[in-house]
Amino acid sequence: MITRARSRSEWIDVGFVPVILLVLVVTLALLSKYFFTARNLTEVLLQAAILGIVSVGTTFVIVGGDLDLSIGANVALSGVVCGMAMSATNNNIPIGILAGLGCGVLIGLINGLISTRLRVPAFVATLGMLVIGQGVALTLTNGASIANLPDAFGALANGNVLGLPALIWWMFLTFFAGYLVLHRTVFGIRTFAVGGNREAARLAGIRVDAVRVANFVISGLTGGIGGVLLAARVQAAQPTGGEIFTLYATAAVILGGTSLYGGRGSIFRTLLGVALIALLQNGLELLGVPYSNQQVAVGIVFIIAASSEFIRHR
Amino acid sequence: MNDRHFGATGIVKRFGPVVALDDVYFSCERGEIHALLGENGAGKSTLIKILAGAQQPDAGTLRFGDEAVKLHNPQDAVARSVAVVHQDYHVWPDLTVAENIIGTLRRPPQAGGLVRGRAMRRAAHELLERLGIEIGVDRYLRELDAAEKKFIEIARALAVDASFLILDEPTASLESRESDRLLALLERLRDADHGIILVTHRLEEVVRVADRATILRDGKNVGLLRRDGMSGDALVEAILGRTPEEPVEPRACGDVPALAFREVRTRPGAPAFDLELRKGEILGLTGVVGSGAAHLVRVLAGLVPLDGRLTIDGAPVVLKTPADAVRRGIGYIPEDRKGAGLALEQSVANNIALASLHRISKNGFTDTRKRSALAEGYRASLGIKCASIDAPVGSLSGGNQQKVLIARWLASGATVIAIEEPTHGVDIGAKAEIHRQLAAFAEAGGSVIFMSTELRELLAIAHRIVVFHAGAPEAILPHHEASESRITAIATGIVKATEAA
Repeated sequence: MITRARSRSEWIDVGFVPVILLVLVVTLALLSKYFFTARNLTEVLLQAAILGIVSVGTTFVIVGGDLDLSIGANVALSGVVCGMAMSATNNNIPIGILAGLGCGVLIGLINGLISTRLRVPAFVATLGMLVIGQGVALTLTNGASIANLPDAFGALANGNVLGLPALIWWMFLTFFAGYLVLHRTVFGIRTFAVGGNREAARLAGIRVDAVRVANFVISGLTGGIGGVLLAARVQAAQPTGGEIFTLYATAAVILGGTSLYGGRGSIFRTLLGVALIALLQNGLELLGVPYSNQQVAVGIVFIIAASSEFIRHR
Repeated sequence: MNDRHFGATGIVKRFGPVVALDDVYFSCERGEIHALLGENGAGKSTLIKILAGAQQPDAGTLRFGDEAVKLHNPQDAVARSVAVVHQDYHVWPDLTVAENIIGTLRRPPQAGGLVRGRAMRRAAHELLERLGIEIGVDRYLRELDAAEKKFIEIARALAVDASFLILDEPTASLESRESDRLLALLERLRDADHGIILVTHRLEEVVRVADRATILRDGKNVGLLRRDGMSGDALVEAILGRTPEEPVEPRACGDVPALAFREVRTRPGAPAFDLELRKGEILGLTGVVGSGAAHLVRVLAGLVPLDGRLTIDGAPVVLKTPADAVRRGIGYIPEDRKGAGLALEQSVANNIALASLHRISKNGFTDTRKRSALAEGYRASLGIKCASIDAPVGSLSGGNQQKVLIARWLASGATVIAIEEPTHGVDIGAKAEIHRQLAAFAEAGGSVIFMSTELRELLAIAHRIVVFHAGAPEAILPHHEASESRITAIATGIVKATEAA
């Protein structure tokens, strides 16, 4: 078997994000002695958790050559549906969870069908769904959050498992499941094939539309999981506040080095991208930068990340 | 089941008023390499698509042995053990060899929902070994060269146990040494009792490996040659099928160079060459797909970098972008005039004025009266048929659209016009008019460099015809020495230019 030396561009491709992460960690450690405490690092993981979960789904869609901008509304609406179902059934937690996940899957399915059957570009279809989802979430709740969800439900996210909040374990579990499906199954290979060259995939007998719909459903499911866990974490379902995930999830995927044009990328890269965003936010917080300015920073990093794709693939 | 034969009888296929295939028959046996030949537009591609299930015939039958079948889609063809290797690469650069060959199949080895990586790699390795292809199964496709990618595509087609393999121009983008390897592979496959349907423009390959050759012209069968009667000359004659027309001598041009290429390579590894375009000259470039004929035109358009040197009027020039080219007085008209040349929704007038806006504008504002005068002038002189100069250019016929593009560069004061396939998709009347305009441009001292695969067009207008083969000019034929059979023989590698002289 031939082992080839990696070319310079390949080194940049592989090493880009880890190096930036390393620089960021060292900088933060130097600037704040509070950074390397167990408490702060747990906080970072907690902040990253929901983003990490939805980013896994977003990775599937992007590797498959599509986009899912509806994920923010999906998180909000799934949380609301979960909370309402729970309230309506006298705090029946399983029903609430299933309703939330079902809502996420349904949104993904609709995204997929609109994109494939109506041949609407995913960008447009899911952008429309983002606005629709936000509107529905506000309508269902009259703009108020559904509070006082049961403690047992809250434990789903906040319970202690092996010294860490359960929410963090859910994130790692989602990443692991995402890794298995994207990198170890036939479906995963097909997702790469469809994203890399749709026409070639079609001619190879791959049912391109089925693969694309499935990826939207996976993305929808992770949105549902994110929504349910977000509601569990604060024991309340809020109709607003999910929007930010739309940008951050896509940002994390691209930041990690998954190609926006499909066919190239990995779950591990997304993990790095999520870590980068979470550390950046944490660092800015530690340095006392107000939230509004943090957003500016993340937006700038997002654009740099997208442009770095050209640097990497030159 | 008798599956020794795969073929078609009485195939008719129409696209609107155009009859692409008219009562065509074709038959391939297992254990033979059967070449499918014809000029551009003869109907080869359509026939292949029908054989591969990608298109449905309007009439006629596909047969496996004695059994008539319908192939509704490419999957049907695969189920019938017919596989296609397309001309452009249908592989995935970011998947490994094993994933490309085995992983994207309908049923790759898997257990409990997960791919059995080792089994997949072993299956890929065994297949490659059986085909005598030495490529590591863990390499990514982006690391492979053009021939190796083609091998992977062939392996992929054979992974589904295809009895019949259709290859569309498999050697078009390969160097001659790579082609040799590919042809050797095809011969091994034939000996392993596969039926190979080979579409190619390179006739020397046909003479070398094909057992039979079916020749199409204008959508009809015009010949079926067998191994014993197969020669380069016989193939050329069957493909052209007409006595070449007597060419008309174009008005003589001087020998003052307008621009000159020095030590140019069309791709790495191809031989370097020099070429001059003279003032008042119409220079035709031709060659089969992948021969490099289109390269210089695209260089002059500022679309691809030049490996070599270029001088314009004696001064060295580097064209980095299309804007550079325009600034140097080079007007480019792409083959895909709709996609890359014209703003279809925009008016005729705007399209004509696009490259000369600086002349009809003041302080950034366009003088609409000047623009109209400019457009009306060219409408009259070129005979552009349109409802008005304010009509969207998309509403014009192909020939008139082409005239609009020519007008654009005339208006901009271009001294060189670089065109790809000047009259593709243009009707005969407009064709003559376009040729006349190019001749007039040259007579006025301008230079035209064009790439064309239409022999009659080359002979009709070019002062010199540069015939490319395998990445470099094989011959530069002055107008009076050129003929259809000679160009075809050189372009397809049947004869070397020295022999043809």
